Amino acid sequence: MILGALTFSLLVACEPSLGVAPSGEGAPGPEVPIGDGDGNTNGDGDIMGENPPVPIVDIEDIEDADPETLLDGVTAQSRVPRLSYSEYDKSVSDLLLTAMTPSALFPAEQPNLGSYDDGGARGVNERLLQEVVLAAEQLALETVQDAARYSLVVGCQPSEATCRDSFIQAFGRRAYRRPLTELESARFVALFDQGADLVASGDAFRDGVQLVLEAVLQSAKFLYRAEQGDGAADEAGLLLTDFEVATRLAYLFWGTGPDQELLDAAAGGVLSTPTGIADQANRLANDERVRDRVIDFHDRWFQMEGLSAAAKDPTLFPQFSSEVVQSMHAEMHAVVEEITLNRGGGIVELLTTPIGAVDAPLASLYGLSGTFGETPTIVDFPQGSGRSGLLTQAAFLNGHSSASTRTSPILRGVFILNRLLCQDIPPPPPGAEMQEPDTPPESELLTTRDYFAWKTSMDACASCHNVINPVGFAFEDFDAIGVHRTSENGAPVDASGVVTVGGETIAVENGAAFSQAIAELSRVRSCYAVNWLNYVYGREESAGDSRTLGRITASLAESPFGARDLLLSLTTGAAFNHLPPLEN
Amino acid sequence: MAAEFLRRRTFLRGLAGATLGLPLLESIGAGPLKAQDAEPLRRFLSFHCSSGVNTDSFWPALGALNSGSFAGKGTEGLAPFADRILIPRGVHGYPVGTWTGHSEGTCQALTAAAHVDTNAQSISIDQVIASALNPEGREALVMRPGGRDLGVAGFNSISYRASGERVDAESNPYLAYRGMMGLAQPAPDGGDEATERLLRKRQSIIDLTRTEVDELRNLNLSSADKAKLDQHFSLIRDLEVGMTTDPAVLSCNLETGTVAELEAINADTVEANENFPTMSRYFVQITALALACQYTRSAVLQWGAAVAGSPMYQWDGISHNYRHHPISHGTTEDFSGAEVVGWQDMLHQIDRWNINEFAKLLTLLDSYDEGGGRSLLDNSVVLYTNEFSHGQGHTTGDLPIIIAGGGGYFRLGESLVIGGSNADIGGVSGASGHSHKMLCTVLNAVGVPTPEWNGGVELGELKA
Repeated sequence: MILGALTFSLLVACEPSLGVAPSGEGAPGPEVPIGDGDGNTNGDGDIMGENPPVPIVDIEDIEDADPETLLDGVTAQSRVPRLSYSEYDKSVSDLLLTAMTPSALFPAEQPNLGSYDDGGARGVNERLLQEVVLAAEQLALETVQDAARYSLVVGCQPSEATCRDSFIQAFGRRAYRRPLTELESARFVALFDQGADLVASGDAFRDGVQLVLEAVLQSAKFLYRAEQGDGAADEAGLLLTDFEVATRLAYLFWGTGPDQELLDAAAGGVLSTPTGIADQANRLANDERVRDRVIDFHDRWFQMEGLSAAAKDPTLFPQFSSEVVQSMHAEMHAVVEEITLNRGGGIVELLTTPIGAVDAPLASLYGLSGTFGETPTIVDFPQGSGRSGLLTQAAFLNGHSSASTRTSPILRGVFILNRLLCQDIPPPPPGAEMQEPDTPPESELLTTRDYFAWKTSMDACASCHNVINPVGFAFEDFDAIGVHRTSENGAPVDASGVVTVGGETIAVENGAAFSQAIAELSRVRSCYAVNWLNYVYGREESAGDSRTLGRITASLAESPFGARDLLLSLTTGAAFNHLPPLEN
Repeated sequence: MAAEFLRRRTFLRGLAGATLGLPLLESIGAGPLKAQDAEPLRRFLSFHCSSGVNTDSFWPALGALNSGSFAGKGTEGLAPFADRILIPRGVHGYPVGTWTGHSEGTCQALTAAAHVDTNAQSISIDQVIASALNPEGREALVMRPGGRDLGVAGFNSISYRASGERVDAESNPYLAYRGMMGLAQPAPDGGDEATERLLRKRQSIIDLTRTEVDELRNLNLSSADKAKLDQHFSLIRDLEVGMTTDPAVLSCNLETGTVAELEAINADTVEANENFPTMSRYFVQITALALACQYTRSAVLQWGAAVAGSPMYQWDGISHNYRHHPISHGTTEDFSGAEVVGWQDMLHQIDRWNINEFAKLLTLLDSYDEGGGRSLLDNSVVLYTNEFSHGQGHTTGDLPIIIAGGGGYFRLGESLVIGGSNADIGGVSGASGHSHKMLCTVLNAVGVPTPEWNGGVELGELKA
């Protein structure tokens, strides 16, 4: 469980399945011995002078603590994370100015850190390596065949005597995210010079370029982002090099490799200081390329991969179609962009702003009057719509469903507890699905709520379902495809209940009221921060992240603190610019 | 590297448009393939279904099988193969008890092992066979037409490379085909000279990239990072070995028209329910080709995922508005718990459709003549398994098992109750289930000597 380290014990009625990690008492501060920096080992893998790993500990209290009292340390992580498919595509696109997405032909890869990607745990297999080779061959060829792009990628006149070497230096620096070593340059020069023999198109320079592109794109030094530092250190431990920092910045904000300006900044040595990092981070944060990252994060956080697979009974839900599902997804993206990028909002605003982004099919589903077209328009939901924020929009209400005929309040409830409140819900006990209470229901079960209330009323179920059900039931004022409703099967729906979250007992009337209520909780803010950190760093949170998470948690209570601000905060902790300790 | 086995060949024409150059055995090259010159090259294919069957109408009567045995049954499509199959009854699987049954039924299919959180606690036999019989580093080919269960990844693949390490099933037939073609695709234009130049170019680049990954793995890294890069290094070396043969002789491929269809597939919709029959058809062809060409000697074809990934059968005259999973429960998805009128008939229809696909696959395998009077089917062990016997009860007793082919190893043409068991879906008796023994027998039949599999020894009565 990705959030295992962030264990909230407030919902004691339903014990998390994972054990609680050791408490924070005596958690090590950043007492990092400063090494000699040569990276020598003492022979048994114990690295002399390495940053020691910070243990994962309970950080339950971050949301209510003064962030500046919390630990800011460096966390063990892979030093050779492999590019994700998306990062590979974007990096290639930037290098070769191509719109191709070669990873479409790579073998399917599922997220390996909950809904997020941990590049450190990734390498290559036979299938992927073959596809990487084929992609490199095809990309190199189509680049040199396109005169305009070829000229831009080469960056100098082939007739100039220095062009071969300057192309290799410049392209190599961009692809490897650092200057090539002399050895590497010499290797590429030797390969380049084989062009006339190995490609033989009649244009030896072009052939050399093709060979170099092909080799670079399948080199492990491109596919993995190696981090080693250069021995420099400060009081928090060994530092990353400027180029390694530049690389982290670029992938954090844009999901791609550093641009020329960032590489120049690294070469100029300005990324060794917090100010230098902040300057570049601000530039990247305010570039439009940050949008894709922000949208992608919210998609994964909300597990929107389930949306396209949602199938509904066409006789019960004639409004449902694959087109309207696309509209729902487009709405979610547009609303996330509007709130977190245009309005500078965070989780509070995502849960409470009564806006939608509506096109014609969705307007019909929402029962909105007016003229709507093919692209989503930001609208204020009218009074009585029952809608307040992402949890009351069709994408969420549809995307967490296991049935084609009714809502799935249990799935909705478990999702909210897991993903918005970082409350780990254990799996159902043995045979739960097959069991029913011995006592038949007292009256006919007309509504979904009635059924699940009865079905989960057994003692064995109750301890968890007392927690889950009220959360899920709060959204019963929306049907299985997200239409607002007041009745089901002729019986009135009841979306009210008493929810116990964050140590507080809150009475809510419906989904909108629930959203408004939990938006007040600091736990919701810290949970959002943790999810962002998991996504951006590609690892679980740990004690060393406490101060960063605490700062974000506090800031999210104050508007404006949008996605740009949040990403900037993730570049300020010790974990961001220090060499990760070895994992083992 | 499909080119490895393509030096000398005789051309055969399979059904469904597969053109195939079969290697002569002596040309196959080094490795385990060569070790069995005198023996037929055995292959393994798993065909796995979910949600159980209509147990009242699925099985033919016990005893000798003939084409009449199947009349009106869910297995009727197998009538032409009456003397080529064995239907063992009373094979009880891992008992339900630690979960709702779906996890047990799915995880045990090729492992006969327990699971933790729907991760089987054993390597599966397809990967054991691949590791014994395939070129080094090539796992069993694991494919799944149809959708997935988004909530429980363990329902989406029955193959495990190690305990708890599930192998993702490929749901896009084009990508499965590309994997088979490896670096021999696309075939180079320009004849021998161009081919020779391509190989030299790749060699030069591989020399460079191998050096680079070697430098990378010698950085100051954790042992996990080192292991990852070691694997990368050795895969580059395998790439090099695989390229020493001539891709121009590639002939182990689908017909151009079929390849064009595969290339035109929209990757975003391969798992869409309405595309299930089309994807299934492609996967059947690719599976047969992959085994015939010995791209792999072990393959898994999982017929849709369990539970939420199960298909909604709406084709070939079947038209329900329910996924297979809820129908197998006999209930609608709503909370009324009411029986769907005619649910048993719907299950029966689904059984017949699945078995017809199974029969198509057998027919295709049988169309490849591998010499010595034997077809690819004869040289393969094809194993039909199912998550459950009875879906409503989530029953793993008397699992539906059908063994086809097997090269004389099995007692074909019969349906028999294995000794000490009972053909009774309620017959699960804890550790005395028999699926481990059945899988042990399959391993030996494929030519992977295995005295014991997860505590089970061979079932002698299944053998000829």
